[in-house]
Order: sequence, then C-alpha cells, then structure tokens
Amino acid sequence: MSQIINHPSVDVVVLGMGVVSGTVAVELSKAGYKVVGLERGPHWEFATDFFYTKFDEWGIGFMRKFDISLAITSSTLRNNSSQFALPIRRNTIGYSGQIISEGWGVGGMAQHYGGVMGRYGPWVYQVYSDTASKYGLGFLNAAVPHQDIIDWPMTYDDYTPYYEQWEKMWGVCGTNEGPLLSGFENYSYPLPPAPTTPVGTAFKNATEALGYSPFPGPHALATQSFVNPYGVGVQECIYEGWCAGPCNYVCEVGAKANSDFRTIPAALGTGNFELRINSYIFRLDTDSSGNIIAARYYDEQGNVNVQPGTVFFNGLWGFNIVKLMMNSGVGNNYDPVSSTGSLGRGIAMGVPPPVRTATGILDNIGGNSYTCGSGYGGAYAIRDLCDDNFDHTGLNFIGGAYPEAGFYPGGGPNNFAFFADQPTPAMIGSTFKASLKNAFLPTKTLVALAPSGVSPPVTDWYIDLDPHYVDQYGDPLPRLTIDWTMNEVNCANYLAPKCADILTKMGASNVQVSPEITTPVSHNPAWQAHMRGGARIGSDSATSVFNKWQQCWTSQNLFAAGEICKPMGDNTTAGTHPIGPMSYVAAEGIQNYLKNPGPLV
Amino acid sequence: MVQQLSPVLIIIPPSYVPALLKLHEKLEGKNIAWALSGDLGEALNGVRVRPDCIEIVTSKNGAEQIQESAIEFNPEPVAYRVQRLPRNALIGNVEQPLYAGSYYFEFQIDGIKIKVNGDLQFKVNNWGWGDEFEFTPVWVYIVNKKTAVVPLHVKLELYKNLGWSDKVEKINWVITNRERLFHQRVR
Repeated sequence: MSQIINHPSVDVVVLGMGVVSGTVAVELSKAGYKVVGLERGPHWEFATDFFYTKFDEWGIGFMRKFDISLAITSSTLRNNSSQFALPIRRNTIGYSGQIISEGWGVGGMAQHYGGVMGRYGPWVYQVYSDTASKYGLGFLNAAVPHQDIIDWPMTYDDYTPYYEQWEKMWGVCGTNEGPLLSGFENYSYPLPPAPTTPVGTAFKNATEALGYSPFPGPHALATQSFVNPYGVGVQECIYEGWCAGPCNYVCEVGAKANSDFRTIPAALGTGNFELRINSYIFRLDTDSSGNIIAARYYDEQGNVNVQPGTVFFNGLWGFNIVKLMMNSGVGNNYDPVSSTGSLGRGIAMGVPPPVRTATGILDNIGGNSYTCGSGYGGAYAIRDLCDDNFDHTGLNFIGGAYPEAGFYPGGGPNNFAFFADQPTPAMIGSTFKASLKNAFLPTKTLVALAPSGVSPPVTDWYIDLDPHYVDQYGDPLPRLTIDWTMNEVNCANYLAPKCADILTKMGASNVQVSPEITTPVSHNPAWQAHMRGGARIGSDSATSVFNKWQQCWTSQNLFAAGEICKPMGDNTTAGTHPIGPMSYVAAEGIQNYLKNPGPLV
Repeated sequence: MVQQLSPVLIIIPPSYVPALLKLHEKLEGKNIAWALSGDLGEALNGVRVRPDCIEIVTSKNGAEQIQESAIEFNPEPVAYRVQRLPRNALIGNVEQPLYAGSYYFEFQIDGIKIKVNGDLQFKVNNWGWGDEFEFTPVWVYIVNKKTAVVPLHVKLELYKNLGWSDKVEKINWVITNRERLFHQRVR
C-alpha cells in the first residue's frame, strides 16, 4: 500500500535534472547550500546503458526508447481554439522525420540532442523595442498580426558574461560568430571547431565571395578532451557521426555536452547535493502568500513523497513547467479571450518548419555522407541574413534565417530522411532507398538551405490544461494551441532565392527553389523540441511569469529556466545555447534570494 | 549517490582548474615543453585517482624557465635532487628501494602544491639510472587551454616495471574499456 513520505526540508529543491537544473544544482551546492534534485526518469550510465544499444537506429531513432513513454504523460495539440485537441501518441512523426519527445532521465532531453550551439544576437533580446523604434509599431503589427512580443528583461550585453560562463562549462566548440555578433573581441569559444567538411568549405568560400561573413557553426560535441571549471571533463568525440540527424543518439563517451557529464558529477562531488531518480513530480504546495512550501512526487512504488524547501527551481522539460504550475494553482493563467494573464502565454516554435527551401547537388565534392564526422560539427554559417542584420524596410516580416551548411549528419535511415530534400513516402524499402540515391552518394551530395523564419508569439497561441486528457496519475495534460504564422512564410519566401544564390556560388547543379507560399497551407502535426514561451521572463508581471532573475512574480521562492521561459528567439541556434546563461542568472538569483528573501527586482 | 563508471569521464578537484589556468598564463608563449604527470595526469586520462598536487615533467632547461616564469609564486630554486620515493618497487616479489632523480623545485598556486621535475629519471636500489622520461603527450583542454599530459601507456609501462600492480590494474581498466568503445564503433 502506498504511503505519504515526508522528507526533511532543504535549501533548494531542483525539479527535473536536465540542462539548466545541473547548473543550479552545482552552483548552489558548491556555495554550501543543501540541494535535492528530483528526476522522474533513471540515471543513465552512459558507458553501459548506451554502449550496447548505440546502433539500434530503429529503437532509438524512431521508437525513442530513451525518451519518456507517452503512456505516462503527453500533451494535446490543436491549431486553433475552435478545434478539439488530440493527444500526441507517438514520439516521432515517421515520414517527415519530425521529432517530438521529452527528456527522460538525468541529463534530460540533451542526452540526445544535436549539440547545435550559437548565441542569440542582440536583436532577439529587444525585438519589440528595436523594431518599434526602427520601423514603427505599425510595421510590427502588420508583419505579425496579433503579436504578443515582449522584450527580454536583460539585453545581450547583460547576458554576455553569463554566456561566457556557460560556454566554458559546456565546452562549446567554435571560434567566434563573425563580425555581426559582438562579445568575441578578446574571447573565443573554449574548444576548436570540428574539421570543416568539403560542403562547409564550399559554403564558406561561396558566402565570402558574396560578401557575407561566414564562421564555423558552433556546437557542443567536444572536439578535444576537455575539463570544465568544475573539474569535470570528458574525452573527445571518437565516433565521427552517428549521433546527429534529428538528434536521436545519445553519447556514451560524453563528448555531447549535457548536465550528466558537465555539472551533475561536480554537484555530487560537493557532498551537498542529493539526486533522487524515479521521482515523478506532480504538485507544488503553496502557503497563503503564494510561496511554495513543498514539492510532491511519486516514487517508483507509488508513494507520495513530500519534499519541503526554502527555494524551488522548476527545471522541468519544456511546457511541463507550465503544466506543473497550472496543476498547482501557481501563477496567473492566460485567458486568450481577454489576452490577460501570463502563464501559458506567448508560446512559439523554436524551429518552425522549413516552408520554402533551396536545394542543389554538389558533384564530386568529396566527403562521405554515410560515415561523416562529429554530429553537428564541420559546418559554416552566416548571420548576415538573420535577426535585423539586413534592412527590413518594405518587407513583410521580422527577423530572418541562419543559413548553415556542411555539418556531419551521421548515419541511419532516420537521418537520411531528415536530410532528404523532401518527405519520402516510406521510411523503409525500395522506395525509400530510391529516393536517397541522388542525395547521399560520395559523388553527389544534396545541399538544402531551408530559411526557417522566426516564429513570434501571438495572442492566439497558448498553453492551458486539457479538459479531456490526463496523465497516468490523473492530472490534466497540457494543451497546446499553436500553429505557424505568416511571418515565417514571408521570411522563407524572401530568403529562399538568396539561399539559391549561395548554392549557385557553391557550384551546385540543379539548383531549385520550392514554390512561393502565399498562405500557411500546412499545419503542425506536432509540437517540437524547442518550443519557447508559455512561462516567459519579462519586466512586466502582467505579461510574464518570471522576472529577470527567473524569479516567479507570484511565488517569490520559485525560480525557473528553460526554453519555455524565453520571450523570443531566432534560429541562430536550435535553442539550447541561450538557456545556459539563463540557468546561471537563475543560480545567482537563488543565491541572492537565500541571502535576502523577497522580490529581486 | 550514483557513481559514474565511465572510462571517459574525467573528474579532478575543481580547485585545480584555476591553478592550472594561472600556470598557463605564466608559461604561455615561452616555448617550454612541459606536461602534467603524477596522479593529476592520470585523472586527466580518466583514471579514478584523487591528486594531492600538480606534478609537471619537463627538461632541465624547462624547469629553469618555469621557475623564472613563476617567480611571483616564490618558487624554490631549481636543484638536482635524488629522492627516495615513499613506495618501493616490487621486482620479482622482492621490495627494492626506489629513487627519482631530477632537476626539481616546488611552489604553490592558491594553496596547491606544484612539483616540477626536469630530466626525470628513476633508479631501483643501486642499479643504474633508467632512461629519461620521454613520450609523445596526449592533449587535454583545461577549459580553453591546450595542455600536454603524460599518456597512460607510458605510465602503464612504468608501473609494470616497478611492480605496482594496483596502479596497473586501474590504468588497464580505463584502457580496456576505452578499447571496447572503439571496437564497438567498427562493428
């Protein structure tokens, strides 16, 4: 029979043990605070758990066996508020290679991400004010009808020291991000970039010739043996591939950065940090002031555990941050009719679908798509076509795209599908093989530049609790009402021909641009791994859930960080890199709060 | 607490990182060939040992240059020293006294002892001095500083010759398990 287990109070309770939680755990335990980390999944032993199953492409890539079972919890999705939302019942949308999965276990989703890094530029942090002052509010409202954009509460310059701290800890590989991004004058990423692929070299030469400023695409797949400032390190990537594509493969050598082998070992080493796995967090208890007094979770035996604490850090995966808060009655839920409230408000896609693509074939460029190099290393990228790095006067969208070419996709059928120029009718069999013939031969290399635009938050998209579907413990699932906007479409329409120019300059043959899109004809069958907003930080409690220290406006001892806390983003990174600085800001905020409890702003 | 058993995970005391970075700062651009050895070198190769100092191997000339470069840390003068090591060699099941000879000095950075050995050689009992300690280093980035480290196979040979079976076993575990990772790769 299950029972209630009460645990002694600690200084900090960390909810979820993924990317951002590791930072908070190590910084607080290093500072002498007692910290407990609760993780719903297992603690993978990456050298053994992943060792023998590394090449199970079907099991890992498609069946997502290292992700949480969707029978435990999932989410529902609809494209507008008049639809009936259906639950996500598979982690992979097979034919298109789209991945929908949550983290499961210590290290979280970053156990098997692509390791794409890259800072957000200054524009991202002040999209609303910069756009309004430069082009006028009318331009912004025309480009993004129903826009619900807010500035970040800190600027890029404010985040720069936190970026550096994060990059040195995470082991980001690269040089700098070119002249269009400041902050690298006396600094470069700690580890050198992966060797450039032939496609990367062609992209670099072509973009230079066209007057752009290419640079090696930053990534977090350690190119060298590396020790971070916490004294934790790993050997360099030895596999040269087999880990990227749609982010399927875990890394048993630890080269692919995640908290399980960057921060958590150091937290454990302090003696102040206790890690509790198989702990499914379902509720936050509050006092009359709204502050959190305990987190409740189920253990493996189904017991209800009560963990009190002074401070709580919500580092759960994605919109589970929102789900937990809504189910606990913490925060002010968003009302889409009156556009009031903040929790669940402002969600957007981190990586919108590539609606218009430029493709070409590079003949005899060398390299080998089948074995390749280290995941997402080896590429070159440009920032010239992203953010507000080009004049938007007369255009009908904000932001831009981040062309990058030459990374090593690694092997596996799922990866092939991901990099094929168009969705294949089948993932296996002769049809599939035939569709790849012209794209992945040493003598013919398909290069696709897909200028995904920026997905801005609008008042129509939000998260609430689903009235029909529940998780295995009976709690409502989060319901996403989201689609893509014409901003992404208009951006892709404008930039795809420019990408075709790059391909032509690269010497590609058969350069093609897919037809111009005039309406958002396709809807999202799934949410994606890099959703943002929903529990955003900001300067105004009316439109944001957390302040600049990542402290909850309504529950002062609750902090959070993660992609779902971002008010805005772009595509210079898949999304992981900018949450690193946020985790350091949160760690600093928590320490400030513990010294002097109260609102930090 | 869950222990990581991976042969590729490196854990060193965090306080060593700033000390090593300060050392780099002093030696940067001076064309001195030096490498980390001792327990720290093994830890940086993934062996589960907890170092109690930073040990550096270099040449006689390198030791003198490092001493000059580290002057703000009040290093001892460099002097040739023969020291009996606390642990004996075990040759043919017989314990023999073990000596290290080197151009040696010590200093501290942030309370961490740094021992520098130039032209290091070993001698068992009253037998002749062995060859000077020569090797091709492996490289580890201490945050962003490329750092030479004595490779494990060199230490393995040394420990085998000295009959230190416990250390041989620890290193063999790392080497064997890493080889398994590599072999898995080509299947």
